[in-house]
Amino acid sequence: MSILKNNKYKNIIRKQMLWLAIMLGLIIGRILSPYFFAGNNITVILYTCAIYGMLAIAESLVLLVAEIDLTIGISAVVSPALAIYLTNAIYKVSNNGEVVRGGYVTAPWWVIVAFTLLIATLIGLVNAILVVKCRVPAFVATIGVQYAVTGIGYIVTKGTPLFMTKVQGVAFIGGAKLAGVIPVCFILFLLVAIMFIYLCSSTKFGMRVYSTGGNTKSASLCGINTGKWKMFMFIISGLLAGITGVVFTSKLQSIDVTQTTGYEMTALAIAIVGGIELNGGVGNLKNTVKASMFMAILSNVLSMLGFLSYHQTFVTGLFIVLFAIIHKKSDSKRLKELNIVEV
Amino acid sequence: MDKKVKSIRGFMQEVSEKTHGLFISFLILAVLLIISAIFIPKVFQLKNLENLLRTYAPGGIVAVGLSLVILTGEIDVSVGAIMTLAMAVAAKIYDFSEPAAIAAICATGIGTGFLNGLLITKTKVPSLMLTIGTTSVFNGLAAILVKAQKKYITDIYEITLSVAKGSILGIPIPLLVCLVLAILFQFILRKTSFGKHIYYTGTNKRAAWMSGVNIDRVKIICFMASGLLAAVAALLLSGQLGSSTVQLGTGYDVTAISIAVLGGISLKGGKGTVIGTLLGFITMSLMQNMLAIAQFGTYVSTTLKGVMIVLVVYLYGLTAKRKE
Repeated sequence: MSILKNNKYKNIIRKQMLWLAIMLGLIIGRILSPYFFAGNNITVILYTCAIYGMLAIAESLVLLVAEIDLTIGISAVVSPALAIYLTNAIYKVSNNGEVVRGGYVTAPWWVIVAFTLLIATLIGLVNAILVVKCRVPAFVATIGVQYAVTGIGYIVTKGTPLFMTKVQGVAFIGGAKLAGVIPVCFILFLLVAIMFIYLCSSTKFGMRVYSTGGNTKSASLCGINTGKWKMFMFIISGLLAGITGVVFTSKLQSIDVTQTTGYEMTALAIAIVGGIELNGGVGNLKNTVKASMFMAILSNVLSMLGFLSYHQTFVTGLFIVLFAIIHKKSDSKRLKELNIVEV
Repeated sequence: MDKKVKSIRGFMQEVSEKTHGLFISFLILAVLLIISAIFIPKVFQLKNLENLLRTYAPGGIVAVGLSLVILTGEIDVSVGAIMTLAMAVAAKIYDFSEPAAIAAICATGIGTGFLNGLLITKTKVPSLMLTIGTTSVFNGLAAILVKAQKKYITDIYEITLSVAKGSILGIPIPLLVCLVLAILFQFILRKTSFGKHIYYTGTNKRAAWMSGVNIDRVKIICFMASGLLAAVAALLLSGQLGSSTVQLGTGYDVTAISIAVLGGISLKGGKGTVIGTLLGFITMSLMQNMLAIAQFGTYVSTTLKGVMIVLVVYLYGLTAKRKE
């Protein structure tokens, strides 16, 4: 107990809380099962981390400018589906036959990827225009777009799944592994994460984003085009959702509109655990990456413990509440030092 | 031309200010009614109206409760999970005694609402954050309680069925519950000091706190009311469906928020009326019913629902006077 009372150690523990949680998870996992550090299991953890982490980074970027994006989950699955049908239509028009036959897709992968990213970015753009230009509150606007996109996805696919097994090279981005352990998509996730961490911490980009989120009014008085930066973040989050969609489709080699239901909430939960604030301007993307790692390990350890999926829901919920409260505590402390009374 | 547009907007702003935003809700409802009268007159058959309002009433009840929370400037996305949890708790008790089970449903609703409210006011965590966490907790707890099994509400449970499927004077009881609650809340909001406190808290909580309003108590009571109404809605819904599963409340949170928004309640708090929510509920159910009768199917209906929500909120934004 004497260690805990020491302020220096307390600070270290508070700052490195997520690392400690990850370490604890790894140790518990090792104790519970000899197979925890087996190659396959590591791959599974890293894969989960990559998928959710990418969406969490997208969500965090939007949260940093004090907005929210609830479309990323559905965008990750509808945009590849739309891309495939768009390709099909183009092939039909140019008399090259059909590329979707009986649910099986035969289009070349690069066309699908290009169109997926394009459509996902467009969804982000629609969000951006609605929120910034039309001044619809982000929460409602993105719920509306979420409904609309889901509906369009159903209309286009007629509710039937698409199979990608006949597409050449489909398994690369989601299935290939480096050294037999590390999935390629995890490397991609790390690259994206490092890029945005660098942009946010060491360039003008980060300065603009944080000041837009921290206090929009004073930022715009300082000459920052806050509307532009908000739009930019929505577009980036759309693009990242598209990349996630490509990875996810490549991993599962099939598309069904219901398969990413609720992913935006998981992404939001990871951002919360990572200490990004919903009011904008506070938080660090590094912690989002750590948090997505932690959540991946948590779900893996819980499965190892033999927890059923609904037990896992319960425990995950507890962790979200716990971390939200801990992060808020340190924020309250900061406000107290500034003599601001919280209401 | 530009001047004309401006004057129309000014007129709209004035009218909507005077009617507390109800004008827009009425306008949208009127447009829908006219469209359906011209193209789909089948909607107005009495049996259809009765059925549609009965089926969608649980969503309306949840929205009425949620309106109070949104008016205080908070949000509760765990109402769906509260519905599931309330029925899960009741499923354990139904076999012993039905009245006890119904009491347990109400108690669960109030208890979970109290928990949400307490955590939010004591820790000052933003309510969206916290209720995302508690959504997971409640959903998980519900599934653990009933081991993810289905509970059938069979003919033995007379009270539940008679409440969910019965009618008084030809009006379905779920709709009646929704109407009565909405009018009651509207009365509380307009005529009592507590109602004023809710609006003060939502408009400017710091000013409210400084003038001596116990904003923590206001928020906790609103969360409890929202939880209770969600639980009541769960009872009516599962009575109609004849069973309760662990998926019971899934999606009702977003539906309720959409209804409240359609009714002109501002997510920033302090603006809107419960009567507006009631109109939003009628609009939403009418629209879904129209699309169903016109045989558009759920896919198109989902899309149009989304477009509609965005459009309506955009309209509200246009008519609200900007204070910049």
